[in-house]
Amino acid sequence: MKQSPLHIRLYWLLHRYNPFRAEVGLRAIGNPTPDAPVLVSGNYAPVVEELEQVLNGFDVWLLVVDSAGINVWCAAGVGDFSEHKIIDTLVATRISEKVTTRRLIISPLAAVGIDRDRLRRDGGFDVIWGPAHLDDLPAFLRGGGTTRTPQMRLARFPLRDRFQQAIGIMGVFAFSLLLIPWHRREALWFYASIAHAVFGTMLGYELLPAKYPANKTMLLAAAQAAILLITRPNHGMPLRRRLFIGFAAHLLIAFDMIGSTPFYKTTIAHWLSTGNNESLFQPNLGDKCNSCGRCIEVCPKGLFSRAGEDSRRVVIDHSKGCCECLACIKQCPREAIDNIGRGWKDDIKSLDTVSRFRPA
Amino acid sequence: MIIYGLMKFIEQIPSRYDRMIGFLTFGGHRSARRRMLARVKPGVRVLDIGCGTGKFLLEAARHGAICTGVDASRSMLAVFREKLASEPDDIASRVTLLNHSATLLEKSFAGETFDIITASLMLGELPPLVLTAVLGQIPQILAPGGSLLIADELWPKDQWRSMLYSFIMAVTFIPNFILTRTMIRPVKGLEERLSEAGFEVMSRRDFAFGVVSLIEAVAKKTT
Repeated sequence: MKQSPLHIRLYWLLHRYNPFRAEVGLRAIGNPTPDAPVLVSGNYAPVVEELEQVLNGFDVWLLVVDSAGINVWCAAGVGDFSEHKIIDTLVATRISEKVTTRRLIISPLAAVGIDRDRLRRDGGFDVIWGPAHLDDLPAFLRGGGTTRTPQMRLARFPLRDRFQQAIGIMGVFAFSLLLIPWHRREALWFYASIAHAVFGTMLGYELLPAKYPANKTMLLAAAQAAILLITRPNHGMPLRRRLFIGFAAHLLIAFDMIGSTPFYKTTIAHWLSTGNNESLFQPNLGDKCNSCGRCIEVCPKGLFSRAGEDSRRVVIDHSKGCCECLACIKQCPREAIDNIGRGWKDDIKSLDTVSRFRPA
Repeated sequence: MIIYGLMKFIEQIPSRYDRMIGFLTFGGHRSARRRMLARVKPGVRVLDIGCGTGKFLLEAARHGAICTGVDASRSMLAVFREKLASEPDDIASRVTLLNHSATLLEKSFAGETFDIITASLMLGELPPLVLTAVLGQIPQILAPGGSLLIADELWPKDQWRSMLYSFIMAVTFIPNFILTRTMIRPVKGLEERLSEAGFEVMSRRDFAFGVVSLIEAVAKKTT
C-alpha cells in the first residue's frame, strides 16, 4: 500500500485534533473475492491510511464511511458516525451487488453511535464487533474474522498512540508561541512546561505513582516546582512568575486528561472537589436484563462478563473503571442498564433514552 | 483546556445551530429561505431533506403546506419536536418527521411524491459519492411538475473567485468548526451533478454576495 508523503504525515501528526477527510467509498485491499470480509472504518484520513498498512497482505473489503473526518469513537458519540452514515455508504457504493456477505466488521468503539437492529432492518447488514485496536486486526482476521479474544475488545492506549497524542497536544498549544514577540521568555517557558506536562504524563503513564491521569500530571507539576525551588534559577524572570506559569501549564494539561479519554471521563468540578478522575456514570444491571450479553461485546473497559462457566448471568466489575462511553446503554435492547453513579457528563449525543439519567 | 473548552461548546450545538448558521452565512440563508417560502402554498406537499431544527419546514407548515422532514440527526429532530410542541395542533399535525438517511428516500417514500423538495445547507455535508446517490433518487419522488429547491453554498466557477474562496475557507475554517461543529463546505459542480441526475436547472439566485445560492431545478422532459 502506498503511504502519503512524509510531510503530509507529519502535518497530520501535529494537527491530529483537526478533521482530515479520506475519500468515502468501498476499497479493495489485495484481491478480495465477493465473499471476503467487509471491514468498516470512519474517514479520518490518518487512520484509514494506517488501516491500509495494517491490512497489507490480506484480501478484504474496506468500506470507508463518512465520520466527518474524525475518529469513530468521538464521531459515534456526537452522531457523526451512525447507522445512517453506514447505510448511506452501503447504498451509494451498491455494495450488496459486489459482495455476498451481509456482515460488517466494525470497531466496538463505534458502538455508542450505531443502532445495530436499525442497520440490519434498513441497510440489510448485520454487525460483527471487531477488535477495538487496529493492531489486533491481523490476528482477528487470521482467526477467521468472527471471534475475538477478550483482550481484543478492550480500548488500548499503547506507548506509540500516547506519543502521537502528545505531539498532537503540543500542536494545539503551539499557539502560545505567538506571544514570543512580546513575552519571549514567558511564552517559551509556558510551552516548555506544557511539553513537560504532556510528554511526562503520556510517556511516563505507567511509571507515575498516581492512579488517575490528571493526578499524574499534577505530580509532574509538583516535581517541576520542587526543582525550581531547589535550583532557584534567577535569570529571565522572577521565580514566582516562573512557578506560576509552570503550574498553570500543568493544570491546563490536567484538565485535558479529565475529558473524554480511553481511561476515564469526568468533569473538572468533580476532579477539583474529589481529587479523582473516576467517571460520574457507573452502570448497573436492572431487573430487565435478560443476559443477552451485548454489553459484554462492546464495553471497551471489560466491565461486563458472565458470572461463571455455568452461569449466563451478566455481572459488572466496577474496578475495571468505566470510561462513560455509554456503548452499553446504546446496545442494550431492553434499557436494562441504570446509572448508580453520581450523575453523568451528558456529552454523548447519540442516545435517545438517556434523559432518564439526567440529575433531577 | 483548549480542547476541553471546544468540546464543551460543541456539545451545545443543536440548540444554537440556527443562530450560528444565520451568523455564518451573513443572513444569506435567511434570504434564501424567505424566497423558498414564497413558493409554498396551502395544501402543497413539501419534503425537506435534512430538515434539521425545522427553521424552514415549520414556516412552511404555518403557510399551510403538508410537510415531511427527513433528518439523520436525532438531536436536531429533538429540537424541532420541541418547537412543534408549542405550535397550535393544526400546524403541528401537518408535519411528519422521519429519522433516517437521505439515501433511503426512494425506499421510504415508495409510490409517494412531493410537489416541492427542498435541501438547505445539507448537500455540502455529504461526501460526493453519497451526494450523487441522493440526487439520483429525488426524481422518483418528485411529483410531475414539481420542483427541487436547493439552498446551499456553491463553489464559484471562475478561477479568481475560486482562489478567493479557497482563501476564505482556510481563514474561516476554525470559527466555522467551533460554532457549528460541522463544516459547511461549498458544493462543487452541483449544476452538473443535477444535470446528470436528470434535472434541468431553471434558475439560480445568489444571496449575501453568493455565500448562499438558491437553485431551482425540475425534472428534465424525457423525449
